[in-house]
Amino acid sequence: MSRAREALVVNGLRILIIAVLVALWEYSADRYISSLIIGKPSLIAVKLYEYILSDLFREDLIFTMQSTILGLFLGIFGGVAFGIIFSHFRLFAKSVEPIILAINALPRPAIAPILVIWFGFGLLSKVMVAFSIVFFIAFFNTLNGIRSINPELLKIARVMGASRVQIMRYIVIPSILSWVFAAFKASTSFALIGAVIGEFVGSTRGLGYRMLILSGYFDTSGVFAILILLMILGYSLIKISERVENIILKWRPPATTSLF
Amino acid sequence: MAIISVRGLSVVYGNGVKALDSVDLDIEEGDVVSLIGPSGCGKTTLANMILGVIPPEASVSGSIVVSGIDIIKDRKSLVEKIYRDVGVGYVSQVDTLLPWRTLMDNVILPLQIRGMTDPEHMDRAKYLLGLVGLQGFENAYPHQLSGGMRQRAQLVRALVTDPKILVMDEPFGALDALTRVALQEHLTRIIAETRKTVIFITHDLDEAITIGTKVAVMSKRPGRIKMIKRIDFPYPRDPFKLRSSREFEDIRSELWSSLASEVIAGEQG
Repeated sequence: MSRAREALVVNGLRILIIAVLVALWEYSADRYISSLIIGKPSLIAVKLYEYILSDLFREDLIFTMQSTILGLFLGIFGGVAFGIIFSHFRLFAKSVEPIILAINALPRPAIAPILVIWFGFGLLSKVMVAFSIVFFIAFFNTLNGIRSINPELLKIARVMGASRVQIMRYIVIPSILSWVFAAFKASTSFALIGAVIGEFVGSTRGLGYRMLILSGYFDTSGVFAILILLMILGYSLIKISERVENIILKWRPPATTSLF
Repeated sequence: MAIISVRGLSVVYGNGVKALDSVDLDIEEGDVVSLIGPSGCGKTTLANMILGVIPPEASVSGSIVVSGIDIIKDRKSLVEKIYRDVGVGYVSQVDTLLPWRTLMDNVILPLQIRGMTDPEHMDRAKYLLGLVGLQGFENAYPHQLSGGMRQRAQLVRALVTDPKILVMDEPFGALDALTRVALQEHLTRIIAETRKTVIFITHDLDEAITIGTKVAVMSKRPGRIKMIKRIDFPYPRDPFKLRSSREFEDIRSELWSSLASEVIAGEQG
């Protein structure tokens, strides 16, 4: 099958599968199961439309995106910086390592309430929840990056007459970045998860907060409407970060084997 | 005066392994010394010492004087001076090109480190790439190049700052036989053109004779210099022609018997 034909068939199948599922859903709602429980696609569409046209939507969307993106970048920056410092002080690293592992073992939703107590109901507590997840991903990838540096590279750099700062700049940092950006996509998803968890625990706006309110009113279709928005947001963020990853890591050899 | 002078150099590693035992070696400017010996005899240790890469837990006695600077005595303070003033180029067996840099950016890394990215030196980088047949690949990433091409790029990178001394540690060891011979030919051409003092470590006797103006045979561990043989073929050398010549055969069998006794002794020890 030619590439173009295959793409046509795959896209056709996708639309068909979704259409069938939505039709089944629409048909069963209120006929076999109450739409209070499973929602109803036509109702969801109406809710979605109304919500998107309201001022609330803009406010919620911006709020959630802000906490996601701020948490993502602060987390990566903090994780990399701390990872580098960490690897430079062996004794300090050895002493602190179990503490870091223990903190990272905490389920992140469990620390969200304390973060809300500390940082309030506004943006900052959501940024901190997202940060608390991304930070550790970036931190551990930084350590891996530093540990996996080929010692021959350091020897070569020294023989070239490189100073400590130059070894950092030309060898260590690029090695670390390749590891950190390899986890950029995952970090983006986790940042969104963190932001939404933060909103669940205590907030006055945001997509996650709105969903919590609607579920309190048993507005199932409204909840689904927000879920769809979160899905679109998450998917777009992943696609954007994939792009960023590919641009920054364009030197990587392409994967040569594929499962399908 | 010798540009590199090794006197009574002994090295014992932290784990008690004696790598070198009272090594004496004088290398004159323009010498191309092939260093050959059984595996584990301390060839790489000797090269590292000359490069100033001295493991901190090793105990070292004797002296290495490179261009008038004693590497052992002045370890920290002056090793950097050697790299900067005398210039030592290093090519290792493993692939040490930075995967995130293009070929050209890899090759000019030593220039960037020393702040020498002026047009004259950049042109030199381009000229050297042409000399080893890599023109047209400047913007390729290492993973897009073959092993032989990457090794040639490492050679260019080592030469780009025009160092006086070139240390090569089994540079062609990981390549297939045909690529090896092609690169040996490239190397003798570059040596003829750039007139470097070269220390060339290998475990391949034919390669040692093809490259060197002198072949130094090392004993089994702890390594000493057992014999030094002058090789007088003019540069650039043609490895194929050379190897079928009568003189090559004679040199080969003389060195082989010296080497073989070490290999057999090495197995018994």
